[in-house]
Amino acid sequence: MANQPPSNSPASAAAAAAPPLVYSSRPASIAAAPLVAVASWVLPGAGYVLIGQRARGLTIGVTIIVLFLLGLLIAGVRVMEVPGYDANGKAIEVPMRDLSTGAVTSHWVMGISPLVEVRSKPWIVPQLLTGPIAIGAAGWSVYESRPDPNNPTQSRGDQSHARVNEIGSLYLSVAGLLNLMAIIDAAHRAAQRAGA
Amino acid sequence: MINFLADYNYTRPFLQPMPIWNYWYLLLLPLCVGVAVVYKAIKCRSMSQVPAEAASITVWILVCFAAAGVALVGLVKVMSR
Repeated sequence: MANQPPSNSPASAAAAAAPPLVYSSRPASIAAAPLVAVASWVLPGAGYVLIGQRARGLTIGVTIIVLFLLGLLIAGVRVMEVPGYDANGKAIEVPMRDLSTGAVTSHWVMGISPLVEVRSKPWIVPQLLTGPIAIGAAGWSVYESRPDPNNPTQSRGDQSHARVNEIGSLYLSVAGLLNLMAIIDAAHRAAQRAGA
Repeated sequence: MINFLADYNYTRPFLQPMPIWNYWYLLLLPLCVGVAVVYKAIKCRSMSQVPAEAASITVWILVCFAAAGVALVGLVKVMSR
């Protein structure tokens, strides 16, 4: 307390006259940090809107969604490599023998060894941080990988290669990682407000 | 632009990759702008500071990219002698 100026000093008078430090002119919301984090994942920027910071939420949300859509536009939707599905959009099945009966049955690889499959397509992890929009794009990618009914030798959508594929993948992953940063920040701000 | 896309038979957006393999480095610009805007929107206390701060950091990212590129080219040339 020795460092504090006396109550009648000019510094304390200026501090008393200054407006309180606030992030937004809107009233503080009582949204809990976990709810804000989930909202931020479901719709990028929504967490900030929940705590009353609409401009920040709109700026961040629109930027992240535009980056994600640009990635899909640049490299095509098939740039999303979905674990558990091959290049033809077919679920990868693993034959397994039942030791007691000797019968061989097929199991979806994601039910047998999901981590190995995700490790072979690691970009899906940051991409899914963008939220349900990434899950929708993954489903779309699987659909477009399947053979075209009018031309069964070709898939519906074209696959990208080389730098175009790398840059599209980079856009999607960066969008997801930016959303992770926004999720952490919005939840932190909500927790600070709840504690204030 | 439309003629350019038509030359490469680009008729199905999102279903086929854009024919921009010769201009891939230009695609780093919107990515840098996006990263800068989100980073500064998180970092700045007032949203009115964001445009100027984001423009500044975008330029810094691009300058650092270019410097890293020049340094790597120099390193490769020295190593390949």
